[in-house]
Amino acid sequence: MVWNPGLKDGPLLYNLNLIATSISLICSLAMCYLCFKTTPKNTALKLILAIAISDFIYTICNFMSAFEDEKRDLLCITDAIIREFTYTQSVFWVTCTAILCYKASKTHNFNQEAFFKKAVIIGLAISTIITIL
Amino acid sequence: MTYAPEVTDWNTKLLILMLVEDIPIIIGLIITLAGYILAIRNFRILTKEFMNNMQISTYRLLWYPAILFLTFSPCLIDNLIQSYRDVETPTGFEIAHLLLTHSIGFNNAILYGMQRRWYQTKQNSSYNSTHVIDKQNNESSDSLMHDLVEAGFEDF
Repeated sequence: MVWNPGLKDGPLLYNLNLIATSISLICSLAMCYLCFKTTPKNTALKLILAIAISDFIYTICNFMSAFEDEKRDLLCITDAIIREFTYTQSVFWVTCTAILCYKASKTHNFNQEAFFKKAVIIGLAISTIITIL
Repeated sequence: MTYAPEVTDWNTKLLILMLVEDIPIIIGLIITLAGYILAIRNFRILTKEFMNNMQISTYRLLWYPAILFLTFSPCLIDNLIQSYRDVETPTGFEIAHLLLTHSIGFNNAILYGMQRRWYQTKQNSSYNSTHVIDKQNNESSDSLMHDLVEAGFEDF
């Protein structure tokens, strides 16, 4: 943990983590709200929503880690599992957005619904494997 | 394999970190960069006048891989430093790691949240404005734009 309070700059890093995480939490919540509010939802919107949810849960993990200590093993393990999963998910959905953009710019009659369904399955599989590792 | 503290062999530690954290990011970054570069290349079939009418700036697409790189590069480098050298990372670097990687929600919200037209759908989108296209534009330009609008990517 980079903001270990025992370190020389521990308190500074701890506070910076809280500030960055708070801003991140508010922004990801706003993004989720905006995505949920908008109807009907196209594929790009669903991808953005997936990114926002991943970011939101990852941010909660960052908050959780601020309250961990050596005795709270369960909290630490839970934090690590969720963090790894959502971290991978976030990168995965950003990558999917790039692929969708490319495919939409190249292929006529590109089936976006099928793409999104495949992406959900592949994304869950990849994130689970990496988390287990 | 876990981040077990008893792992003291630096090559093993590096391998674990690379496998679990760094490789997915590196692969994601490469695919994202390649995807947007290829998309920009596909946009070249559109004429300049069409691009101006639609207020499209293809190079804005490069913001997406750039932000991904900016968000995760401190984390990648921090991991590598910590696994290669048995020393503490410089404080400045740790600050960069915290501010950039832990602001992932903020970065993505700025990048994706500000793209208002992404939230529009075919029914209420500016698809009709494709009729302002110069008649000289060919069929492929129109169908490409149609695909992009369908996907919600008309804001480029």
